[in-house]
This record gives sequence, structure tokens and C-alpha cells, in this order.
Amino acid sequence: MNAAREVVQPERLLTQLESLWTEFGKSGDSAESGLLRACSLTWITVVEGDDASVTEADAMLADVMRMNPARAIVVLLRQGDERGLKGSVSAQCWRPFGSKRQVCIERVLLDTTRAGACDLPAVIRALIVADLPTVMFCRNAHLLTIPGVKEASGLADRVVVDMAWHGAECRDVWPRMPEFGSLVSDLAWDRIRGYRGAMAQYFDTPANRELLKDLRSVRVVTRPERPAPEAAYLLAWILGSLGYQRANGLEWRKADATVRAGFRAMREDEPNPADPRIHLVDFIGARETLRFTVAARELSVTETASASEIVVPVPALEPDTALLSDEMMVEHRRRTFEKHLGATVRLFEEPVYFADEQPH
Amino acid sequence: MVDVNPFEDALQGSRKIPPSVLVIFGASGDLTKRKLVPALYRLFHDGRLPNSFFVIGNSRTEFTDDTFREKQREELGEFLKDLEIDEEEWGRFAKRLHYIPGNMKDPALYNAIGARIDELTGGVPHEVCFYLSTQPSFYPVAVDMLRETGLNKGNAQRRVVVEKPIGHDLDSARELERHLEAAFDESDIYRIDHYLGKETVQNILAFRFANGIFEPLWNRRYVDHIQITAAESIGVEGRGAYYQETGALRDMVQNHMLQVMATVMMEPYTRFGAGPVRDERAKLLRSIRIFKPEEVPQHAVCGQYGPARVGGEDLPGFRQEDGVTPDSQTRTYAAVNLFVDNWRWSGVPVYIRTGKRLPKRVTDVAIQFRAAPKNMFATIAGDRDVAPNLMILRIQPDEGISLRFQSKRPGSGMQLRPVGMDFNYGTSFGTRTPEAYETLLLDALGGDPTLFIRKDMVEASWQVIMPILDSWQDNKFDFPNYDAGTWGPKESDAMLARHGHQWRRP
Repeated sequence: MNAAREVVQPERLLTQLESLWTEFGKSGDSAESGLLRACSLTWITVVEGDDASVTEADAMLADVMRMNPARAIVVLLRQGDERGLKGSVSAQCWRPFGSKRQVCIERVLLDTTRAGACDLPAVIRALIVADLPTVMFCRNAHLLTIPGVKEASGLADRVVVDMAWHGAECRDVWPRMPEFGSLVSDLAWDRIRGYRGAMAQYFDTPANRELLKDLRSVRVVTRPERPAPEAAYLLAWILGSLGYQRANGLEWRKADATVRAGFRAMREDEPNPADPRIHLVDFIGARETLRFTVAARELSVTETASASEIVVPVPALEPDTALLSDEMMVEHRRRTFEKHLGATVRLFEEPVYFADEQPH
Repeated sequence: MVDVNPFEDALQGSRKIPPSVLVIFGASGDLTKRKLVPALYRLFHDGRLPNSFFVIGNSRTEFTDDTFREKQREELGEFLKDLEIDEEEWGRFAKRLHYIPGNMKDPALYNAIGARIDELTGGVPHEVCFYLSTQPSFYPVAVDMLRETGLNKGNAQRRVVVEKPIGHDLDSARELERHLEAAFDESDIYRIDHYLGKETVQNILAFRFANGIFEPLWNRRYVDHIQITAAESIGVEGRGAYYQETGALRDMVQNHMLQVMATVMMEPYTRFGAGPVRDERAKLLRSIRIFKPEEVPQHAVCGQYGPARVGGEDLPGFRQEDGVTPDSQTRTYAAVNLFVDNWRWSGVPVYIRTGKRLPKRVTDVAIQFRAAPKNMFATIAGDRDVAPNLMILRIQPDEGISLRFQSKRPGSGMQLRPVGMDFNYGTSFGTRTPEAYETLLLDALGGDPTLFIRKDMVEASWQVIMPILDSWQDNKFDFPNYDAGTWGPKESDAMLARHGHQWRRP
């Protein structure tokens, strides 16, 4: 780059923010109907691409910020090796249902390239709101390895990634998670909470736990060839919670029992696939099959002479913005997530699919 | 059988509601349409209700399951806040609503309810909550019949939820308690005071006990006095006949305001749980000084609003409201000056006021701190008192907490001006706060009585109120004594002035 390198002075951005609010304040009517400058944390979003990527990030912000108003810092990494860094400030406002007053959050856009990212930490450090949590969202975890972004992630109390974004590359990214920040979360893990909640609720009734005594196999129905990360998380969580460890292939063991557990490829004729990532989960016992699926609306039981099939409904997948909103509220470690991460990675690296596709 | 739920970690952070049936007596009434069904639909929408959950409504009105569902759907549109009704979701929710018409005095009704519970649950153990949302005079009948027909016991926990008022005086409250106790264990009786379900009231506990900096100031050494205000700008809104029998003291002070006062002033509990929290609330209520009859006029003021023109609108006086007799002695305003006779609060006046047709709708608690030991700015301020430090806990609307303190005005010289440091829920939490009934229904279904009133708390509250009620009952007041749209009778201001205090203007 021959032209003078553009630089951003964080102080100037902060001054611009103050001016912005002063102007907004002048245009407000009264204290009751005016604006509320809301902020409960610093929210950093890192995206790669062009202006369209920023538009996409802004749309997400509009949803996420309603639950957790924040100072949003959007980092755009453009293609190219120019080392400039541009900054601008703006605000997003909305009027909560039934309220006269608008709630507003402030947004700082930092526009740079991968090469220019090395200037980010100093700017972000100055822009972080004092004494409040900082959360970084970087759907593409690879970006967290870029010099500058990596250091900036260290300023965050929590880093949220999305393994589902990476497809097969998860294998490379998962092992690097500890480098991304002190607390790392994965939206792919968050996506299975509907299934986890439904299972926990169902097995909270002692009589329902009878099935677990003579459990023969567990199958997570997912897309063929390679399971979705969500499916890997779910299977690892189920087996880990039941105390099983993977022995070989489909075989999982614990002191007094063995089960077969793995994935089953979703078939094309599968009815109403609510989500190809996890279509359904079967717990198969000696005479009972328990099926968890989003497709069913109510708990139903089908009895035959030799077996019964119980279908337990699972809440529909929540939008990413809802999952992200919750990530912004949780400050403690996700110990369950961390506990099952290792088994998840192994399941993803060496997925085993059931050859037979019938439960019995 | 596997002893523990191996997947329990997924339930952490959210209350576990077991398979349940909620039986609502008085299901065609106001509370059901305004609060209960909207709260249940919201909980269903949020996925907080168990898969196996049923509601059985009852009243004397002849609905079928279908017509009851249609009525609820129609009314939900009017009373559900901040959520659009999804018809597909409503369809799934509505399937859980059932209805049995019948007279609450008729044993056949209870047999029919029992049969419907068995039919819906298929004999699988379900907890059952009986929600008394009827006229209070039916409470004893309902619990007696539940006991006599055996519905108070079952293959899983059975509870009863009772709305206020718990009696109209101490004797009637004790009488009701006798009926309740005959049918249910105290641990299965859930007496609702919806103020305790409000997020802002619950937050008082977090504010006091999760922070180290406020509690050291929370005592007679630093607090000058406390004011608790629950003002309504509306009148009786067509409920004149009901309100005439109740009045402000019974309607607000005996329950909501004393509970808020107990929350603000109770001692720290040893751990957060139903037992310790309610123990401390009850202890505080028992520590409130009970006035002798001759002390009441010094410590309590009542009022009734008269007609006035407010904002260009002619507002009727209470006696002009529908269903109210022209010489009614009902108190639409009550202010009391209480004292808590314990080590922490000895000598600190607590002023409570509530009323209808006051200038605005507001509920808050103001803790006024003592002045600095020496006013070093007296000469500059022209011997004027420096405005005291105030901590305001805003319960509704504009929920939040603010602290008022002195600051130097910019410019030359040392001019002081009070300024505010403000926490507003909207600033830090963009998310909606759940309605009190969502919280309380979930707690009742999940068996957590922390936010519910215990028998000893009901009794202690009535003991505080009875001398005032008796004294007022024995007197004839020259009503109306305040204009609609004002902050109440002048006697109320005089009551505080005797202690050198004055009411805030919220």
C-alpha cells in the first residue's frame, strides 16, 4: 500500500460516540419519551468479507441486542493485504413493546484486512466498556488464528464460535479451542439444548428410567457420511452422562454394561426431516424404543404385542440469535460442554454409522 | 431402577416441573383471563411446562372444553402482553385446556374432576395444583370438598393455591386457615401475594444480599426513615361494590405492602431457600409494633377521594362510582407510620401509603439516609439543609434502583445540587421481565414456596393491621377528604411532619 496508512484513534471514536449521544439527547422529547443509552457488556463480532457481511452482522445485532444491550464492536476483515484500519460509530435504537422510550445501543465498525488486523487489539482494548463483561463472537473460528484477532480474543471474557460453520474442518479447529480465549463456547453445542432438555425432563420421572436399565443401543440420526457437529455433541453427551466410554466401533462400555451407540444416516424417505443435523434420537431397550424428535408435537405411545414405541417431542431449534443472547448472559464455565468435548471430537473424527437401519 | 436422572445437568438453571394438572376454580373469572391463562400460554411458549400438563377449569358457567378454549383464545388476544399469538402453537396449548362446569358445593363436581384427572393422566402419577381463583367466601367450601372427596390426596403431590385476601380480618383468616389445614399440609398450601413474584421485589434480595456495600448501611445508624408508596392513578374501575367491602388497608397494606416492607427490612437468611427466606420475613413481620387503640390516630391516616377535574377530565369521587353507596365510609387512601422493634431498626419510622386516584401510578421504596454529621456547606447553601441521600427501589413502572446524592454544580463557587445515579432494568437487561404470575405459577407447579406467604406471616400481618382497622371501624370520617389527582389528605402530610419528615413526590 503506497498511500498513507489509515489509522484509527480510539479516543476519537469515543469522542464521536459522545457527540452522537449528545445529538440524540437534543432530539429527544422528554425524559419519559426520550432515549435510553443501554449497555450491559461489550460485544465484539468478527466477520470476513465485504459490506454485505457487515449488513448481516448488523441484522443479527438488532436481534441480539434486545436481550443484552451492549456496546457492539463489529470487526470487518476484508480481502487484501492493505494495512489500513478505519473506524466509524453509529447507533441502533428500538422501542420496546408498550414503552414510550427508545432503547439505543452504540456500534463501532472497525474496517480492516487480515494484514491490518494486527492493529486491532490496541483499539479494541480502549473501546471495551469498563468493568462489564466482554464477549467475542466469531462464527468462523479460523479467524481467531489471525494475528491481531487472536490477541483481541484474549481481551474477551468469553469467545463464541460455531463449529457447524466449518463442516469437515471441525477436525482442525476443535483442538485449537483452548487458544481462543479463557472461556470458549460453541453454538453447535447450544443447538442441542432442546434435545438435552427433553431427555432430562423425560428421565426425571423415575419410572421412565427403567428403559436405561436394559438399554441396548442409542442412535442419533443425522446426515450421511459425516455427522453434524451437533449430532456428535449429542451422542457424546448421552453416552458420557450414562457413564459409558467408547470401546471400539459401535461398542460403548461401562463397568456392568455394554451398549451399541452411533449414528444412523438419515434416509431420503425419512418423514418430515425437521433438521438434517439431528433428525431424531432413538434409545432402544429390550422391549421399548424411545424416540426423541422435533417432528412430533405431543408425547405418543404405540404398543404392539412385543414392544412399545414412545415418541417424545423436542422443542424446535431456536434461532442463533436466541442462542447468542443466552451466551451473553452466562458468565460461568460450561463445565458439561468442556467435559464432553473430547469424546465429541473423537466421535467426529471416527464416526461410526449403524449399517442396519431398523430399530429392531 | 436407575436412582438418579443421568441427564440432570440439562435441567440446571431452569425449574423442573413434573407432569402436572392445574385445576382452576373460578375459571370464568377475571384473574383467569387477565393473568393465569396469559401466564400459562407464555410458559408454554417458552417451553417451561412439562410435556404432560393439563389445565382443568371450573366455574358455574356452562362451557364445554371447546367453548372454554374459544373464550380463552378470544381473551388471550386482549390480555397477552409482548407476544404475538401463534395459532399453531395456540392449537397445541388449547388441547391442554379442559373444562368441567359445576357448583363448588356439589360433591359431584369433585368426583368429575377426579375422574377427568385420571382420564387425562392415564393413571400415571401427576402432581395436582388446585388454584382457588373464586370469591374468597368459597375458599372454605372448596377445600372442605377437596378433603371430603379425597382429591387432596393422590398418587403424587397435591397442592392448593390461594389468592388474597386470606380472610377479611384476623378471626376470619384464622378460620380459613383451619379449613386449609384440615385438608392440606402447610407445605402444600401456597398463598399468593403477587407482589412477591415481581422481579423488582425479588431483586431487592439480590441487591441487599449479593452486594457487600449496601448492607452495612442498612440499619438505624445510617437510615433516617423509609417510605413505601403504592399509588394508583385509576379509581375503582367498576369494582366499586367489591372495593367498598375492602378498602385500601385490606386491599394493599395488609398483604402487598407489608410483604415488600418485610423484604426490604428482614435480616439476611442463612441460605437462599423457602425455609430460611420465609423465616426471616415472618420474623420481621412479627417485629412490627402493634399499636394500642389510642395510638392509632397518631400513626394512621385514612382518606377517600372526592370528585375533581384532572387534565380537562371530570373525575368522579368514590361515592359517585357505580356500586358505591352515597355515604360510603370506605377508605380509598391509607397511610400508616410503622416501627420495627428490633435491634436493627429500632426508632426508624417506616411510612407506608397507598391510594386510588393519586396523581400517578407508581410503587417504590425510598430509603432516606441520615445527613452527613456536619453540613460543611451550610454557609454556601445559605443555611439550607442539604437534600438527604435517598435510595429508591422502583418496583413499577420504570423498574430500577437509583441513588440520590449531592454534587457540585459546574462553575465557580461551591454550589450543590442533588443528582441521581441510576440503574434501570432496560439499560442492562433488554429482555422482558416475566410477569409475576408466570414466576408464581411455575413455582407452585414446581413445589417451591419461597415466594409464597406462610400461615404465620398472614397472622402477623393481620395483627399489625387489626388495631387500625378496628379504630377506623369505630369512627365516622368526614369523607371525601382528598381530591382525585392529588397525593392524599393533608392529615397524611401532618403525620410525617410530626417527625420532621415529609412525603416524597415520586
